[in-house]
Amino acid sequence: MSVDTIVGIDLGTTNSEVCCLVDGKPHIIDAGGNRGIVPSCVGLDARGEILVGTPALNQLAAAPERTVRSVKRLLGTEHTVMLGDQSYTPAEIAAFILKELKQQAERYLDQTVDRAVITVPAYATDAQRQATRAAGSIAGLEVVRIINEPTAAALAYGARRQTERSHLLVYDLGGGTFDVSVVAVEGGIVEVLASTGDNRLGGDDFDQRIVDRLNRHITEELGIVAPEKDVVLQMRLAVAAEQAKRSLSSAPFVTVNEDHVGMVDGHPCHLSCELSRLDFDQDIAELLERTMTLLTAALKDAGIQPRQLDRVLLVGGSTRIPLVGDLLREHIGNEPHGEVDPDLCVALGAGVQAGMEMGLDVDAVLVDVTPYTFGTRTVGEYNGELTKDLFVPLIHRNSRLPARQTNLFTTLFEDQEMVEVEVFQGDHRDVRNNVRIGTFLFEGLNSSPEAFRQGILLTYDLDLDGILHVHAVERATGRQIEGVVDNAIKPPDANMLKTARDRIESAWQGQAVDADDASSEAVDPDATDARAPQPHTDEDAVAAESGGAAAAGGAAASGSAAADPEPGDSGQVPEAVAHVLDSATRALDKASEEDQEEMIDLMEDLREAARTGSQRLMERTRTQLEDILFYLE
Amino acid sequence: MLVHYLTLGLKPGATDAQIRQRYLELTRQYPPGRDAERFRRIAAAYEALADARTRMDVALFGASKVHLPRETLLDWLVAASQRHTPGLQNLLEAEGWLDE
Repeated sequence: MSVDTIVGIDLGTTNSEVCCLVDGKPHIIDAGGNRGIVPSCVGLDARGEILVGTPALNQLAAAPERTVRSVKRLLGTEHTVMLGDQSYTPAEIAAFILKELKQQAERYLDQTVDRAVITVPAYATDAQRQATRAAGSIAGLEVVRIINEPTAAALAYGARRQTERSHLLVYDLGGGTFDVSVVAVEGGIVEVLASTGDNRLGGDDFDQRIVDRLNRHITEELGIVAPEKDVVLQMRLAVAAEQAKRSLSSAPFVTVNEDHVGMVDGHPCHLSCELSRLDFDQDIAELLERTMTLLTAALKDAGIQPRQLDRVLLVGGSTRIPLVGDLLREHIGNEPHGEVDPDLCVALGAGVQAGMEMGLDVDAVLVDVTPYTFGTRTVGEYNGELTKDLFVPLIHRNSRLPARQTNLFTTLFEDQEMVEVEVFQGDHRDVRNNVRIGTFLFEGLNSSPEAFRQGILLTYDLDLDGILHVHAVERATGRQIEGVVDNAIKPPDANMLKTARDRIESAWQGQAVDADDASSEAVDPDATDARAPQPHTDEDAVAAESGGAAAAGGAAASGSAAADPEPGDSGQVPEAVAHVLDSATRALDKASEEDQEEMIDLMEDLREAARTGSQRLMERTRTQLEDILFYLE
Repeated sequence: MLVHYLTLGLKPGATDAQIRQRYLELTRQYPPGRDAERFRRIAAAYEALADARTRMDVALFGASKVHLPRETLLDWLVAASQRHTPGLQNLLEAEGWLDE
């Protein structure tokens, strides 16, 4: 095999695996037994040495304060994780797992491995993707490609065997995330038609429902007050709940036995609670119904009827729950297939993709889509009212990757010197219902009429990994800004990554890390928060859409929500409002007490109207205020 | 419109099956990971030409997935053909819209 082997890694919430191609076939590297499944669990043993995988999982119930699991749920957030007396970012914990997998692969292949394909949930946000990339980098792996888990599963299912066009539904219910994708496979091309999901729904939630039930039992039957407060007990119950959940997939009843759950009247109490599958099904029915709603939405987006589906692929351990199969049969009338191991097929697909990246002939091409719509905020008309919160989508959800879209925008005022380009993710016409994932300030704009007329070209570029690049050009001068969207975490700069890498390296070797040194560099959220300050521009310094000329005719004819905003006269409004508010404040002293009250009310209304962009309310309150002012003077 | 046909190396009037076939061939030849720019053009061409309804949207509005209600679209077509929009008559005939 060549020197630069690329491995495929499934970094899961509960379990992780590493896979590489052997003789053109994906092969899961099995170093520790259990089919190569490494629990995504990191811990510190009594001597302060790092444990990854099964050893860490084994000490979870005994030493929860020194053990971390399900860290994937925290990736892309600002949370930090305590491991012993050290604080780590989620990416650093994930890096321990990746490092373990890297070493397993190196031992198996007998060569260094420094490049990898890593999977993320299809519905992973930009921040989660960036954090995954950072984790790889900390572990000393160059992440050549990030692919979506259901897509990887479809790859593992085998694209090359299909010559006729067939449609797959990939239902991926893992430990922490749910994804559903509709995939077309034809002539060696795996094409994702639609993808959606929920990145906070999975097996952990099912476990929690069982734990809730056990807690109720402990309180009601044993009379122990507030068992939820006992951290160690909760961790033990979580482990027991997971066991019970697994048993319930094959047995209709299971009894949970835990010794010493608490003390009542000086006597230790033991828990013995029988759970039935029926109870469990009831507890999780609402969560599973949600997955069915998303599934229906994905089919609708793909333009596929349930009966057109040739196959349903089940991915993730949670799909072993019998109710999942029942619901799927009920909703799509199709027998689900699990012939590719639901625990391993994501890793196998990652291995296939790794082979493609190496240029090996595996004869499959992957065309993936984005599950999110990306757009920007503009001033425009929504439901007949002028608003400064109009969402203008640039890249629509389920666009093929890589995707790029350029729109022309103009400033609101001719002499405007800066615009705030706000990047939103979501589908609502009102940006306030979407998620803001980034802000770029474009300063020092040319204030000539010519520059105003020519406007600003805004380009969104979504790369194959699903990471968004934003680019704005002032057409008159050619000046431009660009940036990569970073959400909750700052862009992983080289210095920080290096520090984190060194730190993980030394912890890995079981050396005591100087706590001061480490925390000041990579962990302390205050120290790392070197993000560029986000100055808030004037409320009205928002770019306004000029309306794509080509699409304008269609939009006007359809009368749809894609209205063509006319920034022309709206430009006056905020200034006029400010003027009236100013005059009113000055005139307040001269007014009678009764008038004062009315004026204050009106000013409040006017500010509110300006804030929400409600033009009618703004007009009315302004006129009333002006009338009072006129009467006072 | 024409540029999309050129990208796929097809002539206007190609069938849906031919268009799909060419798209798959070209995607195998230029997968997104190898030549992103080229694949983007191929995908854009396919998205614009995928089926009769989409081609109509692109021809009329310059954008795919406009998906106007059928009645609105027919009103539009009648209005446009009355204004003797160049080429529209031919296009409508070729796509079989005038038969309805």
